[in-house]
Amino acid sequence: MTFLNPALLWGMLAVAVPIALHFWHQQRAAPMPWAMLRWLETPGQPPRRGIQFNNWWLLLVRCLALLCLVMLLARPSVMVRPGTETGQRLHLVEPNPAVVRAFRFELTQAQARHEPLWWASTPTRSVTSLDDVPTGFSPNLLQWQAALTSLSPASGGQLHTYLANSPGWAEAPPLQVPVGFVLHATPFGASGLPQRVLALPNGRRLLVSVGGQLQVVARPPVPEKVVATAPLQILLTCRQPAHRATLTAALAALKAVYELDYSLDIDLIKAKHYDWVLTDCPVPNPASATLYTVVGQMGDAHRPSVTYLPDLPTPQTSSLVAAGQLPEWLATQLLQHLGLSLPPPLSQAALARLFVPTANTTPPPVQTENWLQTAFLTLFLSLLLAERCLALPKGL
Amino acid sequence: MNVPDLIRLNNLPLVGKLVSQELNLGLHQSHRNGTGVEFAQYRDYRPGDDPKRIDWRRFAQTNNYLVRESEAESHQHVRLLLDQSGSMNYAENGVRRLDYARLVLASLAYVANRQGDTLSLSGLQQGVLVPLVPPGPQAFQKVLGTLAGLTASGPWPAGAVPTLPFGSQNKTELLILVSDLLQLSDEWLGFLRRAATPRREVWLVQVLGAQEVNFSLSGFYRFQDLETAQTVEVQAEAIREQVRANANAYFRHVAAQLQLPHLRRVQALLTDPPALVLRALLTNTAPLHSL
Repeated sequence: MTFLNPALLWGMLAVAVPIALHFWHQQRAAPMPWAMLRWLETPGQPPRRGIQFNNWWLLLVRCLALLCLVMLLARPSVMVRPGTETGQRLHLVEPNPAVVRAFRFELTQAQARHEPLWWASTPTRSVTSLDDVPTGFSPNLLQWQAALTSLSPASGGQLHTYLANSPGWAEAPPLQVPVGFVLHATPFGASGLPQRVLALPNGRRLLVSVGGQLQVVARPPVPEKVVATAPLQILLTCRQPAHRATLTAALAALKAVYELDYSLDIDLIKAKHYDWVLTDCPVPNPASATLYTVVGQMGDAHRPSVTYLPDLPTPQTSSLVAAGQLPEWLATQLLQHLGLSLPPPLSQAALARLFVPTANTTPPPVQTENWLQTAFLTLFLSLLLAERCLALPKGL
Repeated sequence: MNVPDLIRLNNLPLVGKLVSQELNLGLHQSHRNGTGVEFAQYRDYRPGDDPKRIDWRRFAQTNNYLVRESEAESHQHVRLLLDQSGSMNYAENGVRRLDYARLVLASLAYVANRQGDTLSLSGLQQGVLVPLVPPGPQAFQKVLGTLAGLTASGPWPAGAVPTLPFGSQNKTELLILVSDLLQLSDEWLGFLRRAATPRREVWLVQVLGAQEVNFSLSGFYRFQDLETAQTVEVQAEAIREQVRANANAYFRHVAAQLQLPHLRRVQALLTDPPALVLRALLTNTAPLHSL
């Protein structure tokens, strides 16, 4: 039972009024003219009156009537979603050991109730054993959407979805989910995904911490994924010596701060694989594993591995160079290419907002049950009647 | 008619007539024939009659010795006495003791007047007997008129002794007192003891309230004395037994002290019909209530 005007429930404090009136009324003695005062005088102390409840039934009825009136004014209602408790439950689980570990209790309960459990793979597969998690499979957004659409519960049913709150959800568009969707997400930081790191010499790791800070750590994180290993193979093909000197200085600054070791080539060696190419010439056909940074040119952004610095890298032409921000910009390009800097994971509420129940079957309107108010009104009126019946014979 | 209705009529002559007509009783036994002014009948002379009483004019007409008889004049003086102390203002369920006393006195006055008795009215205010209506012509009307305007107030001062005037030698006196007989010391008992003599019969109507007889109040009350300004605030249940015991002891004491010759006593509650009370008084039957 909920109330549409819960603030009015403070009115229940008004119960103090009839009680106070009762005692106040009791304090006043009824005047009684009397002929023989001598008979009233008792030998000992005159008996004084203590706190006592005469007419306490009447007091009770009055308090109850007041409470009833307050409840009535607060407009009680019962929210009923038909079939919520009786409908079928489906369970869609991300095939991730961390998720299974986090929700093992719920999933075991669901299995005990013989409710259908599905892995969120493409196509969805039925869960036979919670210990037998399909490995090497992490669904992307499209696959999630396909799995959620394929598992539409019957009317009144619920679709319980278990997933890891990974950083990948941060830039995800809203997903269409069926009605009765219930989200269970692992807490922040418990996604179970390996941390992407850049391996430095002597066993140290360069990574972006949870707070978004680029750090060099001595002890590698437990699940880690090495995306690149220092020294990086860098090719610097700039025709202007001044430009070449600026870029070399920027790379040296990165090395000095973050121990990012590299081997720099001025001329292209054909058979060698480069991690990073810094050039001032257009790149006709880039290799996907290589990051290309083109300076002094405008370009389109449809190729993710090619980034452009429109200005020439001199203090006169580039504000980045003038402000000394060129190493920072270069490092940002490298981290984005390597996937080290991921946006921070969403909060639970923000994640839940991504899943929009579809309107193909509109949610049943919340039915405000009117019988409760009628019952309270009837109760109030009958209490009022009882109060009059009790009070009138006594002339109160 | 019950008591509140009779009081609401606010017409003592009518109420007295109504009540006394329910009775068909008199203050004394029967008519007595004898010498007097008003003619009643002739009867034959019998030995022992005074020859002076033979009506010689009738002898001349009828040749029979006839004696002229007339209705004997009553030699009874009925003195009505009303207690006018403050305790007469006690009221219960809208019936004031003073109103009830007026009603009883008016009815008795009606009965006395029907029998040709001499009437007078006195009041007892603050221990002093105050003559309100002297015996004389049209005393009955004056009694009813005076009764309607009487009020009651004040206590009986300690040591005050009211004195009763003696009537004429050839008349007996009937003193009818309506009171509550509630006293601090024995002032009422002393007065009644002096008043009841062979020449003066005393009839007493004691009017009490139901709460005074059988204390059954419950709740918190401030009892205000009607004669003094004293008040007592008390929970009624706590003192109920005590009050009942005190009242019973008092009534037993009064009843024992009033076992006097020439004194007739009737106790009436404010709820009793006045006709029943007067019947008990006039016929001297068993008391209405055994207090």
